[in-house]
This record gives sequence, C-alpha cells and structure tokens, in this order.
Amino acid sequence: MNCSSARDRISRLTCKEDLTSEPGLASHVEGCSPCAHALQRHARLLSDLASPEPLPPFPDLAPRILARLDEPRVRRGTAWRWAAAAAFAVAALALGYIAGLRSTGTAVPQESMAAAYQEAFATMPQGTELAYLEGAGMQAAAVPASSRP
Amino acid sequence: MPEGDERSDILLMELTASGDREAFASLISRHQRLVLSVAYRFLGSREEAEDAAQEVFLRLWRAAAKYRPETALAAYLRTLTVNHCLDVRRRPRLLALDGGDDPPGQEDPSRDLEASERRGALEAALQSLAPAQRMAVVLFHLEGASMKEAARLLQISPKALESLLGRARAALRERLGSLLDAP
Repeated sequence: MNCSSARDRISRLTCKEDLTSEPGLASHVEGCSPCAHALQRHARLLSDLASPEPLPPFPDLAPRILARLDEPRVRRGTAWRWAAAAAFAVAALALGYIAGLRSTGTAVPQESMAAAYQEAFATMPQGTELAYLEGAGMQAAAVPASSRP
Repeated sequence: MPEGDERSDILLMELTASGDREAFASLISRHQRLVLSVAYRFLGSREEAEDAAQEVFLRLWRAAAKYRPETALAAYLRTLTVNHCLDVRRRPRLLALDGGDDPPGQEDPSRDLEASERRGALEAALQSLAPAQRMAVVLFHLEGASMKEAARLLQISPKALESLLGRARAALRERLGSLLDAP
C-alpha cells in the first residue's frame, strides 16, 4: 500500500478500532511516520467530532410558528420563472436573428436591432432587462439607445 | 400548550391535520430540538437555525394531511430539515455590503489555540466544507445517524456516503492542521 492509498483509507476510518480490519493499512502505518502522524490526527478529529459543542439554548418556537399559520402562503419563484424563461426565449430568438444577419456579413439595420431588443424587453419582467444583458455578456451600451429600458 | 403532552405523534398529527393548533404546538415543543440541532450544526447560526426550524414546521403544518404514520415523525422531520437546509445553502446569497464579520471558516485555524478552543476551530472548519460534505458530517458524526439513515437523508447510496465522509474528514484534517496535534 502506498501513502496515497493509506491516506484515503485513513480518511474512511470511523473509529480507531476500524484499523484492526485494515491489516494492510496497519502494517503501512507501522513503517511510515507521516502516515502514522496522519492517523494520529484522524483519531483526534474523530474524538472531537464525537464530542461537539452543546447546543445553545433556544426559545420555544411554538408561539412564533403559530402566529405565522395564518400568513398567506407566497409561492415564490414559479410564475416568475416561467415568465422569465419565456422572455429569454424570445430575446434569444431575436438576438439569434441578428447574429445570423451579422455572420452573413449583412449589415443589420439599427431599426431592426432596436425592434428586436424592444420586443425582447417588452416581454421581460420589469427590471430584468439589464440583468439579461449582463448575463449574456453584453453591456447596455451595445443596445441601441432607442431600445434601452 | 399542555405540559408533558402524553399523546402519541400519530394522534397529534391527525389532530394537526384537522387544524388543531394546540396539538401542533405540542408537536413543535416535542420535536423542535431535533430540528434545531440539525439546522444549527449545519447552518452555523442561531438565527438561521430558528428561521429554518420555523419553515420546517410550517411545511409540516401544510402537509399534515399527507403524513403517513408508517414513517416515524422524527425521521420525517429530519428529512424536511435536511432538504430545507440544503436548499437554503443552494440559494444564491446576497453579500453584505457593509463588510460585516468574516463568515466562519475564513479565519486561519492553524493558529496556536488551546485545546478548549479547538472546537471553535472545528466549527469554523465545518462551515468551510461544501454543503453536501458538511451535512454528511453533521448527520453521521454530530447527530449520530447510521450510515443507512444518513445516506437515505442525503439521497445517496451508503457507498457514496462513505466516500463523501472520507473527503470531508480529509478536508477537515487539512484545515485544522497542527491543531489536531495539541495535547
């Protein structure tokens, strides 16, 4: 057994007694002081994990929880995510059209770009336009001024 | 809220499902320590642990009608707690703009500390682990769950858990360094 395997086996030990079931590891450790040291540290770690800090005192949470039972349940995220996903899909199509025009060397009329962005932004949840541009690695300056939110 | 409520979890859950808040309060009092223990040891913060415990019990209230008594309530609560805590850590967190205290794990734990302070360094080292590794250590070493139970809670095989724990322990040893040599 080499040191790398020994260290891996040491990390898997859950108690000192495990060593008796690992004769290969035991004999390696006998002849390798760095691994013997690692085993010693591992035993100390297991000992510390076995006696953690006691929990701090906590108050009775029942009154606080009962007070919240009548709160309206807000399902955060679901509807917003669908709207954002749809908006990004439209934006991706619009930008893909523009990228296609560019790749063929066709000059993209500013009006087309402006229209594409405006359409994309119109479908996005308010306030997400800039985040979309940043997420796409673009800066607001790259967007025609007439289209910027 | 009755002191020393002798009613069984199954009965209390049935009553909770019918909207009995007193029964629900009894359940909270009876099991909150279990929930708080996992949450506190994983999240590392009293405030977050209390928030997490509230959310777990609110979920229990909402899902009370779906609870199946074949599963022990303690095990069910532990599942809810593990899932919620891992979700909490998966969500992107807003960074404090006022440059608040360094989060646990940023300090150098290799300073020469007394043995009694080694536990503080261990806590910091735990918080520096990846969430899955940290939860594995919390469940298996700190909460005393069996390999089988911990693997079930983490939704991985016992073999995968063994590997996860091995990496976690190696990372802790690395992080604590010479502190583990202290007498």
